[in-house]
Amino acid sequence: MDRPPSDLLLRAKPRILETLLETAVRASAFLVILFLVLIFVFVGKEALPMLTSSDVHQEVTPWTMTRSLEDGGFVWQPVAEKPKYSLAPLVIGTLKVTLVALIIGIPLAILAAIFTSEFAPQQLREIVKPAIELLAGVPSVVIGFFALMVVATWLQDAFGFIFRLNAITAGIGLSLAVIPIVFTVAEDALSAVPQAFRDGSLALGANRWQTAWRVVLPAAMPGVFAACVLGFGRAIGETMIVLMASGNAAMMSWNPAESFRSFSATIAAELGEVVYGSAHYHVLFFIGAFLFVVTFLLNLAGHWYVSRLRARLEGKR
Amino acid sequence: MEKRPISVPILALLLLPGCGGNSSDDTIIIYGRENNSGTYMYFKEHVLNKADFAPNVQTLPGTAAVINAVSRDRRSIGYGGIGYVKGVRTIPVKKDDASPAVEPSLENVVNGSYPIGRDLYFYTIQEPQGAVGHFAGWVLGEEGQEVCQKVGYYPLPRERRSQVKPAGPEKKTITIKGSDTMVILGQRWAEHYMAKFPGTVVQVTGGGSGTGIAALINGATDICQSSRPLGEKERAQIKAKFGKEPVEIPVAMDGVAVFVHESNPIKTITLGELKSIYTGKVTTWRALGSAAK
Repeated sequence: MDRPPSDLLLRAKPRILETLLETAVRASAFLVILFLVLIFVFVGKEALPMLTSSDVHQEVTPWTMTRSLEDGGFVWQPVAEKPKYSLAPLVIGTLKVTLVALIIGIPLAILAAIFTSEFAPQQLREIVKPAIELLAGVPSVVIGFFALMVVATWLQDAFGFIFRLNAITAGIGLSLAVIPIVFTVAEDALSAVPQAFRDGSLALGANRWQTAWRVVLPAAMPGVFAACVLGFGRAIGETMIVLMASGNAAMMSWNPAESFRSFSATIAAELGEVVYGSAHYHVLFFIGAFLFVVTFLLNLAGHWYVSRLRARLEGKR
Repeated sequence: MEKRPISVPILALLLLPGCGGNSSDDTIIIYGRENNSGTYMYFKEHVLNKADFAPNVQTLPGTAAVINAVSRDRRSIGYGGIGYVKGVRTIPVKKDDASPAVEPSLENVVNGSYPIGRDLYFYTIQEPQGAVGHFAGWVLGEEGQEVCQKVGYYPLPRERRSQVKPAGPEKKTITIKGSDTMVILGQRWAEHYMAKFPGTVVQVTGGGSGTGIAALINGATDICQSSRPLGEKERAQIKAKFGKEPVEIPVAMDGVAVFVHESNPIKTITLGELKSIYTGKVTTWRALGSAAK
């Protein structure tokens, strides 16, 4: 017998099974996409009355949500005699915490990525990379709890914040969720820079730090940028950490030491007991659809950038 | 280019204490419940007289979270269901300046002398019949009311318990959905009921009063638990679909407690003072003290 027995076994299997399995695998892939489409259809269907229903328009329209109230203020107070749906405090809150998270998270993640890809010896690298990526597996409710109980107390003791729960507390928690994503993508981008770049730089007399900072990092910049975009998408959509550590007060304030209310936390907090079918209900879905589109586009842009970069570095373009 | 990413965080760190203000500040840090919880609606109606909450009221998911936050913040004040209070100081509430200060104790809530006590409800579409009627009847009976006292809520006074005929079971599964405030209470009721009547299964889930009402309208639940009375719009929806008003059954009582940090010297508080704190008219403890005199 000149053929290995396993090969014989494989050949003996009827071809129909193979086709069946292939179909099943393909079906599961499409099923997942179908779910995504269904979610979008459902959210869109519930959000649509914001644009079409005259019942809802008596209370709120997308246009009134962006304008100030009669007294010139911007207030998010959906449960009131006269409901007030100004998006401005939510926009400020969301951007405030996202910025804090990115200001803390991005430098840390990128410096860690530079270390791992350029400086760490192979063995250390095998430990550091999975360890940081493990952070992505920590449930956000655990990070939220940590921010709420531990970080909030530290910061208040250290800086005497009046608001125990504020954008800095939540931003630090959020940065823990952003770091692994930015790190992974940035590290991939840095590692994908051809070895010839490094060799050339070192041969010209640059030291390792100069090589990493002035040659490798600029070469990987599109990928690093994509990492930041993905991190931004994660930060803007993250719910649990923000819900727990932000204080959820819809204040019109850019001060990071004051409480805020984000889009995602607003949906999570209010959808549970909202009056079914009311204008408020549709407003929440409208915000949800908006958030869905924003994060979807950010992720799409990020992934498109990453794959383009990868193709270029592998010399396929 | 090399220096910027490092100097920015350091600069930010140096600026941080500036955002915070000084520690002798006695700004009132106000905590409350999420704006669609039954407790929020109740507080808005009975304490704020339907005025709007100030934008700097921090809302937290669940009474337990509010209590936790208040217990860690010496300048803070919060409110929530009496069933949860621990680690903070509950302050007696006065209806107005002239009235006596009342603790949210069992007898005070039940006899109505505590000014901010409320009912918790079951809602059904039909008059409760069969197994559902049997369960509701048991909840309103001595045993059911004893369970709700054990969980930390208060029993309804006898004369306010509606008469539900405990008919014989015809259905094996009862589903209950609604208020997060009441979910533990509902589960305890279900446990005790199932231990006593092993033939029936009672399933209790939360999700919020609004979710429960939606499920009731869609026919996905037999009983909706709610910590607030139904809204007009919800009543109208039920009427449009079923041609009649839903059945409202008060099943227990709850006092909305007002609490502060244990080191806070405040002795009593009036509903008027609570209103000025939560609407943002009074922003410091010092101002509250002088306004009271």
